[in-house]
Amino acid sequence: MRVYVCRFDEIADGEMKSVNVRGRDVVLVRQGGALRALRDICPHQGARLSSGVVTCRRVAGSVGAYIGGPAGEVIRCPWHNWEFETESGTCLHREKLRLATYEVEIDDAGKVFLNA
Amino acid sequence: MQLVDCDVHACINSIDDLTPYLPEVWQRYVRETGFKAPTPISGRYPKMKPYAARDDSHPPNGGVPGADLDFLRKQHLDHWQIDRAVITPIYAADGLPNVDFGAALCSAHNDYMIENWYEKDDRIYGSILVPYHDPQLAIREIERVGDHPRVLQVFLMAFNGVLYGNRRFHPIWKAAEEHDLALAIHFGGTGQGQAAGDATYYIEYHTNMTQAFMSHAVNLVVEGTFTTCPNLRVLLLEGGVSWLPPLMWRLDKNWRGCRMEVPWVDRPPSEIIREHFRVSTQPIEEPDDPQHLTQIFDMLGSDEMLLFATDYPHWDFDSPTQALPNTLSPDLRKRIFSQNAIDFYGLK
Repeated sequence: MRVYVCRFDEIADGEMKSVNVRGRDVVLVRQGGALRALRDICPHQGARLSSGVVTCRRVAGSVGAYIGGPAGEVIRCPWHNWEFETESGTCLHREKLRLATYEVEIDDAGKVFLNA
Repeated sequence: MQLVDCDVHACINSIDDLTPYLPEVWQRYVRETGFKAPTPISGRYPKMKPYAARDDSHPPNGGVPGADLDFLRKQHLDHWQIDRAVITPIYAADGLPNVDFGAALCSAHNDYMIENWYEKDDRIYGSILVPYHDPQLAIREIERVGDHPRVLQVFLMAFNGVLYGNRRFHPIWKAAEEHDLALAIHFGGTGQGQAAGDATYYIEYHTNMTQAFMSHAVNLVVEGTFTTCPNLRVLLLEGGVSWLPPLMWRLDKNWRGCRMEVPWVDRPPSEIIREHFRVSTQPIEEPDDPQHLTQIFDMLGSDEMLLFATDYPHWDFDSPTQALPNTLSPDLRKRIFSQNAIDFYGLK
């Protein structure tokens, strides 16, 4: 079902917003012009991901090399730092573990709708 | 079934054994200073028996237990029908503060062992000492003797006050890897081995040996040793067994939350440990219910991870026929008693 949740300009780039859609907690994460929608519950111990941080992936490389990926690619849980890709919901340390993701629509007037 | 013993100690009787292998300038230094031996701190804890040795292991012709090859052959290799034995040296030359003297003494010890032990019996393989405080000198020693066909590993003591995953050591381990040598870390050393404070008694020193091995295992992984040296093999010798499964659980859990700190650790640490590490059996834990130990073996993945060791001639020796639970399957016994070591060392 298509549900209006907020306006696009309510969420700054690199920020997130928690919304409730028909009783389901969803976190919206903005990365540039893109908006992702993910289930707002960490599958580890149930924390609200929207209380965590939006960050970048740390790229694996040689010892001592700290290389960050694009900002906004990752949401990190506020409790135990579990990390998930904002685009796919995939857990960074366990590929088979995924957050539910939802289709986002932004209309010409800047209104954000979720199919959830 | 073949039997491979991964921890057989060969000793020297005195510095006189090594002086012929030292350069003249260091021979003179030994004479003039009265140097007798690099003394480890463990000397502060009397080890229950002289030389920490079985009472029956003193050679009948005199000398130090483990220093008489003929007697060792008879009492250990022949008696237990051991097919291959990896010699682990008891000589703390590698940690001497004077690294130049330490390097000379390591070389002398390595040459002595090669000539008088490793080349004297087809069943015997060996370890080398390197002056790890100075990576350049250590690499030079690996390049000098690391390709000897009987030499299998670089040997280090666990209680040397340093953690071997530290980046400054990586060039040494890279050289070991390039010469197809494993890294063997063994109980003992020149420093304290337990956390939180110095041991009062030997019973603490011995029981808490596991703490140093935990520290080395975690440090080697998180400092990226296996990113730099993707083919390096590490054997934890005489460090206990049962601590490792829960350590892997703890390390994996913390890696999930702390990965940003060590991004070069790009997969669960337990995978890295299972791929690169092996542990020796002795001194095997002895729970009242042997099934508890076999459960630990299951958790560990002992079909690949465990290598049998006796620690001959020491008092806490494990018998090849009595030490492990008799409920192990024939296949698992074969893996632990021989095949895992053959695979680990790439023995023919």
